[in-house]
Amino acid sequence: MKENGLGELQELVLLVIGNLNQDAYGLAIKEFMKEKLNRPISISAVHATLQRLEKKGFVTSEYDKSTNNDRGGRPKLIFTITAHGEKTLSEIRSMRNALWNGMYDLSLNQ
Amino acid sequence: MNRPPAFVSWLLRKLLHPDLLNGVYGDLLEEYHKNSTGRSRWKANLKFLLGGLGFIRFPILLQLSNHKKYSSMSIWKNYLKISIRNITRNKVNTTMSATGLIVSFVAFMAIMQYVQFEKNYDRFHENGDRLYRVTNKMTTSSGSSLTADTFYGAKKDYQDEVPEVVKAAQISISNSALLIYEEQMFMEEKVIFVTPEFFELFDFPLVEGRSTSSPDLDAIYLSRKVAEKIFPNGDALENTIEVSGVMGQVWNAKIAGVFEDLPKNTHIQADVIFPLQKLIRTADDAQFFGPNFTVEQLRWRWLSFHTYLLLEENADPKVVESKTNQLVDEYRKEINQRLNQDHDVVLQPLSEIHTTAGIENEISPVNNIDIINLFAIVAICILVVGWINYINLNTARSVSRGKEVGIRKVLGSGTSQLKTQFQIEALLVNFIAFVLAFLILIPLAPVLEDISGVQFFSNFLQNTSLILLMITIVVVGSLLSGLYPSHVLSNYKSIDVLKGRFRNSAKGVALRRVLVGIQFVFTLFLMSGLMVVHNQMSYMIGHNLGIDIDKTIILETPPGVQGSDDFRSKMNALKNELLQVRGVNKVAIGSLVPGVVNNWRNSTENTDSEKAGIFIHRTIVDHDYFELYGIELRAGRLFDRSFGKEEGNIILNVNSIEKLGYTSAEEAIGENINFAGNDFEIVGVVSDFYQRGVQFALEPFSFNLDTALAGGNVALTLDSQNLSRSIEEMERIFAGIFPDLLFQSQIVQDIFIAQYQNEQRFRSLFTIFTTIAVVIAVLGLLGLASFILNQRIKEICVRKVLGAKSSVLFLILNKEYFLINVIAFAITIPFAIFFMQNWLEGFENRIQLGVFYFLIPFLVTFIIIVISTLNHTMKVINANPAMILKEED
Repeated sequence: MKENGLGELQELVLLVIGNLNQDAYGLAIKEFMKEKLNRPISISAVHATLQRLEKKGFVTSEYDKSTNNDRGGRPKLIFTITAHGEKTLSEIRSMRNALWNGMYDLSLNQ
Repeated sequence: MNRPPAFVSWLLRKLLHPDLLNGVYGDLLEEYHKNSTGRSRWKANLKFLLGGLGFIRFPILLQLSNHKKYSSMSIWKNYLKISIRNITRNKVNTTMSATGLIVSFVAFMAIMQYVQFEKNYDRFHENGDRLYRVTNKMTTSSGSSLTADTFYGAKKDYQDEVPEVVKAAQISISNSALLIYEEQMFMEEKVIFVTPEFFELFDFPLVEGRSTSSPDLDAIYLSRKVAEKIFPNGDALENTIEVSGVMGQVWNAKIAGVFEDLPKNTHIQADVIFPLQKLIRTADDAQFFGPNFTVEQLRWRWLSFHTYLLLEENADPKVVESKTNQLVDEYRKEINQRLNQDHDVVLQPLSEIHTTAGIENEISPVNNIDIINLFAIVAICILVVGWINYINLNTARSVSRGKEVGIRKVLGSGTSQLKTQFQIEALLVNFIAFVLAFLILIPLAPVLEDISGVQFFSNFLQNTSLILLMITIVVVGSLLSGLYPSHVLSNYKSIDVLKGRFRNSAKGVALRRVLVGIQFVFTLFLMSGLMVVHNQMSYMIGHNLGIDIDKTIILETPPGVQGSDDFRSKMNALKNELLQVRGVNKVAIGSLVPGVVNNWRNSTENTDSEKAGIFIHRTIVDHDYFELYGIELRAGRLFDRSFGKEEGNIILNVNSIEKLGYTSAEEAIGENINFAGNDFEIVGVVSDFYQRGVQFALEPFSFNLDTALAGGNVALTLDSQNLSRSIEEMERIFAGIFPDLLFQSQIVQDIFIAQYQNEQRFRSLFTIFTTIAVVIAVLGLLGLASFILNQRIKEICVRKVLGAKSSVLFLILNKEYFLINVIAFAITIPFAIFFMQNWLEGFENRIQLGVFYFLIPFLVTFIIIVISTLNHTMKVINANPAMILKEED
């Protein structure tokens, strides 16, 4: 995996963060992936992916001010996409779009 | 809210970076909360646990690899770095403390290798734990004795009648054999007869050929070594060679197999093996027991067979012992009554044979388990002395490291961190010493093998159990030996050390005294042991043997052949020609060589029921034998040429006469005894002598006259200025009569000294190890003295200013050690007496332990103390008080 490359899971998690909008913390991402994407994943894997994304500069993290009793009074570590992250995502998207557009041979009409 | 397992929280705190911890743990708790409401709790707990454990999978989440965050590994790197710096900087100190360790490791490993070798005899057989030897205990009115060999009938009858015995094998030791192949002659000394089960019971693999349950009577098995010697081109199998001299017979034998050379660590030693049935047949054909008896009739009389039993799995040897005992009593009932004897079976586990002393007729020499254990104790002593030495030297060094400790403390080092630092240094030094010791031992091994006479180092590198033991010992030992110096160093008060003041707690002083005391105890113990061993040896070598072996030389001739006139005339010719050699005074022929074990024993049977039947060594001599060896006549007469062949006459020694129950030598003259199935008239009684060396008791010997069968050895005394020329001349004569045989001569004195080789090896090993221990102890004392004297320099200066004399100061400084030495002396005495007495009891003739053996080591340690502390003591005494006292304290 290249330092600035994006793995499949990483891309997925990055997109989920974008979808969760300001409430993207570990457990929320895990549950989103299981319920919406039908892709069960362990909490440790989620956090590992998040750390890799942060290391590459695609996301930043910050503790919120909440004191939720369910969490034993511990704050949530909220992840937000950086500008670099957004740029990379849209680059991937346009690259994919271009590829999809060129794929006329494959019977899309099926 | 339910409480989740606390383990996860603990684990995450250990694993994760603090920045991440709250977020992650919060997520886990939230999930746990969701799972646990309204559902089974244990499932939630399990999920929580697995979720927590899952974090271990991802290195990116762990502190170890988190590059931007601090890691606790770096402190370990730092410990190591500082340790290496310290070790390399203080080269003299490191060398001193490492030398002690290396020497003690080398000694420890060498001794333990030896101990292990000796203790692992006969443990390689697959069925080894089920193999037992039948040891015979004979009790007569004069006491009881154990022999390694038992009755001929034991093998078959035990195998057939005791259900627990699966299989049995028998061995009988033969005299040496002369093997002749295509005119070439080979003398082989390790010759045995075995039953066919021998190769099944023991794991002695055949390289070629196979053993059958009913082997050809004329079969012969050779060891690989001998087979390669006789047949350098291979293909020994199926060849016919002539065997001469075994039991006085000559026959042609066919090579039925070649066996792998028997390993060193087995008590069975053989190069040539014949079927036992051959021995039985020959004994019958040659009428060994007279015309009236066959071997089968004497199956419970003939006592010359080493018998081994393979028991069923889980069989109780005690039960087998009692069953076999019943059989012996049944079969020997009538004879036992007549001879006034009792025989009992003692089953001896195969693996214990080599370490059990006190049994007669062993196939190969045994080693006393007490001696082996004594060596193990010496090994541990040396190891402990080495570590104490390390502790003392490092404590002494602590003065120079006080400032370092002070600075570290000021900079925030905790006590535990300092301790870890010093422990790691200890571990490192120990480890380096271990590796070096290992490297030294490899080239040293052949030298040690030479001294100890045991080839036990060949498998040294494969001895994983010893290496593992060593590594464990190094780790544990370095932790222990690092404990005290690190404790002392880390407990200095930083303000004091930085000001240059050192104080020691009373506890520390006491501990150091104990350590020095232990060193003294070991040193004293080893030194008195050395003295006892040394004196016992000199005593034995100088002891009167009862025979004259000065200037006596033995020439090895072929074993005699019964009734061979050709052999008789050759021997007579040899004798007469040897007498012509310049310097040769006397020549005699005899089967008994002083210092060489005689395996030929027979029993007497007395019609007179009051006299017990005893076993007597049988020897055959010529007319000149007694005169040559200076064996004195006590009653009757010696063999005389005017009496002709004297076939029915026998001469006994005093010991036999006593054992037979005669009150005086004169009484026995003219009496008839039945010996080995034949009737003999006792014509003479000669004086006793120590045939095998003075460590053994006097034994009964008988002498028959026969110049042919006496072959085997010609003894001659010579008074020659030029020994080598005489030997050369003899060699020429010998070659004229026995052209194909190798001329071999031995000085009897040398054979005798070789009898003491076990003890001599013991002495040389003991000397080496004692020296090592003493040297290490001196090193340690030296280091410690410099430490303590530096601490007392001010006190001494004050005393000096107040007018104390140098001699008084000297006494004050050394008082402590003298006192420790006295206490160590008191502790040592009982141990030393116990072990030395134990060792001495293995000798029939021994020195008495005296005060002398303990006082001299005590005085020697005193001198060692004074010498090793002298340098430092004088430095302190001669110090200029003005220079020392001007410093503020």
